[in-house]
Amino acid sequence: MNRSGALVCLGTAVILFVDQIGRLWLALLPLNLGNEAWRLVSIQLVATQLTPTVIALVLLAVGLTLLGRSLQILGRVLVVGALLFGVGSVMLIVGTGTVLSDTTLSSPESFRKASMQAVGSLVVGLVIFLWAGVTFLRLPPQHEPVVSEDPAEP
Amino acid sequence: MPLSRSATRTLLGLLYVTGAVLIVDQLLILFTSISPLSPTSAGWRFGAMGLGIGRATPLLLADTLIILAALWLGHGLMMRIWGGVHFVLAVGLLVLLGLFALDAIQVRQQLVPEAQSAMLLGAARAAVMALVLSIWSAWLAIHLLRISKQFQAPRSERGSALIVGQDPGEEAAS
Repeated sequence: MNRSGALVCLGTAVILFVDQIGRLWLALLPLNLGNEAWRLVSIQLVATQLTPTVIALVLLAVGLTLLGRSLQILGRVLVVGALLFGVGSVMLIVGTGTVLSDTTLSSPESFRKASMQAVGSLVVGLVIFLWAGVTFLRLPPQHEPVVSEDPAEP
Repeated sequence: MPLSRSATRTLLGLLYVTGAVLIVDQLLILFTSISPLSPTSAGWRFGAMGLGIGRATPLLLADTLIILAALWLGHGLMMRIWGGVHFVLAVGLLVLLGLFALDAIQVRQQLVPEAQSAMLLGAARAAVMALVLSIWSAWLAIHLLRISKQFQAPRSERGSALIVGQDPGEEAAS
């Protein structure tokens, strides 16, 4: 059952990634890197897409862990990487807030609401990151040879 | 302290409830966003398909919860039912994808040239997602139906339940 569960988790994770990439690709095009407003909106958009991306990463790690011990290490690395990604995103959002407080872009109410939504999504994502990270790092190694405690047994 | 077997089964059973609530919630949101229903309009069909694909992420997660619960609880009947649902879903998505392509061509002609490229990008994303989901559903259907055979209850052999004795003389003659 573990193999089937792992395949279901991995498949779902891959489709979630495809969906997120598609959404970002659609929303960020046409690229306009020279425009400050576009850059700020892009950061917000990435933040709001964070929660499903986190869930996809967690599913990927669960799937890889269920498949075997060597892959479990990969799962742990993945979750640690995800934690770093979450912390980096928080820094980005805080930085964006600081920039916005000094410019005229912070005045529209809609922009403020969007920022709040992005921060909310980020917090949810970060909570899932932390939970997954702590859970995976505390997991005992799988598929180790079972040592019998009964001296009569070989 | 590890959970008892019954507690684990209860917790896994909650995955069914969570998945079902998510599916009902998403379908209700989708229904309210596409109502009033107007299936004869190509624009409505195009928009409804786009909105439906937009709900793919939460529906996919709910689907995964239900499948994992069925697998880990060893519910063979649920696997067969869910496999059948995915088979219908895979075929339905392929049919809808064909209709969506035709609707996209029709809707594109009604748009101003400036809006056509953005509309095509959106349609391409929705079509790719529909195709990916259809393939995933087909694979799940096959996998679930195959794996559910492991959980079929052992059937008693056909025939009379009576034990029929044999005459020793007849046995010697044969």
